[in-house]
Amino acid sequence: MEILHYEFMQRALIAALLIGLTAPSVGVYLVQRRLSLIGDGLGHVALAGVAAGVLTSTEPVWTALVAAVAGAVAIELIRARGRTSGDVALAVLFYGGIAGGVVLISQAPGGTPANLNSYLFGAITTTSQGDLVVFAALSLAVLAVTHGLGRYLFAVSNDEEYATASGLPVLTLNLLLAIVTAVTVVVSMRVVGLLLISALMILPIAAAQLLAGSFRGTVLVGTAIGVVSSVAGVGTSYYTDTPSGGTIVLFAIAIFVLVAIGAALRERLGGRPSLG
Amino acid sequence: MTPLDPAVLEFRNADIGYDGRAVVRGLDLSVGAGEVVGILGANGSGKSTTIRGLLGLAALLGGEIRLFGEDRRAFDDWRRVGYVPQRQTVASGIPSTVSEVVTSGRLSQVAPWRRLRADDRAAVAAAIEAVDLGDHARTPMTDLSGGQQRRVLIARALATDPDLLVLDEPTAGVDRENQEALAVALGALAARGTTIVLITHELGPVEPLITRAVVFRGGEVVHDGPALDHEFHHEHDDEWHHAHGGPPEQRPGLGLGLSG
Repeated sequence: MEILHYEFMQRALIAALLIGLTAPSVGVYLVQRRLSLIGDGLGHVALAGVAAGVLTSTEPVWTALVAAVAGAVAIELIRARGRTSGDVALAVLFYGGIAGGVVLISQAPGGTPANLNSYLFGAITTTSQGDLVVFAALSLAVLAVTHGLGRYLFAVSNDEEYATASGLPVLTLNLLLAIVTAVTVVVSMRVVGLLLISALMILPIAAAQLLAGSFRGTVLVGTAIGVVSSVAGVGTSYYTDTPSGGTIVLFAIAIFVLVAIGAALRERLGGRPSLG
Repeated sequence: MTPLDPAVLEFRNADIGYDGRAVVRGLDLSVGAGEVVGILGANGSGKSTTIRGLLGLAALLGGEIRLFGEDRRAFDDWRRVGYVPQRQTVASGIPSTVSEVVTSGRLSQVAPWRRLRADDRAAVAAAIEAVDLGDHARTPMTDLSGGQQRRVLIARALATDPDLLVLDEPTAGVDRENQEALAVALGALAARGTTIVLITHELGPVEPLITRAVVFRGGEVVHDGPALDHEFHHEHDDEWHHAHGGPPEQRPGLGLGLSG
């Protein structure tokens, strides 16, 4: 494998593996509670953090992490209050993030909004050694929450009222889920990109739920699809010289479409719609 | 129950509502151990709000609510309370098995980052067995009928082996066969001394279990008695049609005036 000779490709592939593992494990709870697009919004917010990092010559991974986590906590607190104006508050936060990001980075020395492209859509040449260490640590933390507390997150996402009435710490669990979503967005910022990460959280789960018959099965199949999409996408983007994030997402869409067609065919042939 | 035992649940001059607006005012109601209480009333009469106040899902705006003798706001032994919400199905695009849903009712007993213990698994299996779905533990929820899904939600409430079971409309929209399965399950629990509070429109097969009927109207209790008399049934029919958009039948002798 020629591409493995290049260190930047090794780093990009490891980053792809990490995001392929983490994104669906978070996304399954977002899909379950019909918050599929929250990752997209947090990507917008993280962009402002990236721009602030570029402007102040700070590592953008850290500034993006701060911005995304702060945004996630704000969103969850707005959601918990359940006000109808919450929807508008989210719009302000999301578009404030992307507008602030574009304006801030235009002020950076030699900065134009074009510099944001690799953050928005992913690039295989940008993952540094330092990024990888941070991504690995963040991914471990995300997986510890999504798998270690999976039953609790399932309970809260499945039936929040029931979870409250059974004495679970619902607000804490919701905040944890919001924070790991934000962290996953940041892990994605090199190879997938902030505007495309939401797709890698949602599409593998959308495909997996057509194949699996249990929640656990959905998580496992979705994670497998996530890893295949992200690693194949990064590999392909080397040969085709395309942005890695877009390539990854096209892989995930292709898998989803194939699975959806297969599921539809099986249903027409009278089979059970799930494998079990 | 000795006279010294506290009531299982008790409302003392309680105002309950949402956003600072009381739906139920000045409620005094006490339920003792082993009672099977039917809570009846028209939509908007405050019966659901009362139950939600008990469970911390609606705000206590005045007065007091006590669970097992303890102020609800300080109460944290939720293992003793099983709740079956009104929602008929577990709506979600993500597949989940009967066992996974019932396990979510056991979590107050499971430490974070720990695997389920053998007694947790046994409790989940027993709860599924109690609603006679033992053959379906690994079945996806979406493969079950609406009535079977309701039974799963009851099993979820039983997963901690609660002393008090609260059910909001457990029979609404459930076919006769599933209602009977439900009645058998509740009967077995009542026989073991579990206190049951049941909000209901249609009594059906659960009727013989009920030892006491509490009727709400306009946020107040208008009837609290040991038995359901004939007159009440007529009233109850009216109320059912009302709630389901059917024609409210006008019958003579509406002593309780439920449809108001």
